[in-house]
Amino acid sequence: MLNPRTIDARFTRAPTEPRVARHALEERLFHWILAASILVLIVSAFAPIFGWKFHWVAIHWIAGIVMTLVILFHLGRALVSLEFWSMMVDRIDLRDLWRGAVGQLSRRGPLPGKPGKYELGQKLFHWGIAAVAVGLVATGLLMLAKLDTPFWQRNPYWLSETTWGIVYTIHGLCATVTLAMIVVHVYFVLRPEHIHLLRTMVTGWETRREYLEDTDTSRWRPEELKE
Amino acid sequence: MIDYLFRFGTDVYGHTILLGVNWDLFWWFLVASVAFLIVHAAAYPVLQRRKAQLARRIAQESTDAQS
Repeated sequence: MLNPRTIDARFTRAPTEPRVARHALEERLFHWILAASILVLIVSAFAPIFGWKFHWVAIHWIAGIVMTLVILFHLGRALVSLEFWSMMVDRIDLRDLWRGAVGQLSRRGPLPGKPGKYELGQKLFHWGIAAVAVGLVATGLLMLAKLDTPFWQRNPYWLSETTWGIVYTIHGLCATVTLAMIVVHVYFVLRPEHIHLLRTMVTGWETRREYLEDTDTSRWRPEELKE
Repeated sequence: MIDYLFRFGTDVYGHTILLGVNWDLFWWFLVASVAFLIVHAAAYPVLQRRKAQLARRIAQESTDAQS
């Protein structure tokens, strides 16, 4: 399955090939800052629970603020300048899902078509992680009321104990779901057929050949990069 | 059952209150995600092979229909 030679070929594909733009610098910065903040949040949240004692609270809330800010930045860009509709599940995605399922079960055609910029799985992952991020940010911001910060004094009685219990439950549930989703995300990006997507998230480009192999060109047409 | 999902405590009046999720869920979610990866890694070659067979059959039927 994970053939190192295949991975290497897709990851480092000859830089002389014509390239197309896939992710702008802002998107890549958003992705990696978000990834770093989530990693810090996961470690600072779960390590103390499982016995690693350190002063985690300040690390956790500062990383949470960073995550909140980059998500707001991404949301603003998505509404203004990103290809917003390329992340929406559309009729063709559902038709291809149906065709794929029928093809596998009954061994009859037609075959599903190629995706646009994102596959259905990527879109579902995006909206899934967006949903848990909303849960984490909303409850995390409420929890800041229990901390002394340079901007306000703590007030643990702001909500009733029952309400705090609900807030902590939603936060904890979203955190554990996030952890599982990150594991699945890393697995899929390390698979040979997707490994070049890791490179595109670092460099911003994919080769023209990769674009033509993996994409329905009528559903997404990127900008061609000059050599 | 509910104790497997949530943590409970008592307030100053002795009432039971919800504290948060049971942290054992961490392991359940971790194991579930790893199990999903194993199932996917095992099923993927089979599904790809079936898809390739179907593509070949469709191509063959198309050729037969034309001739």
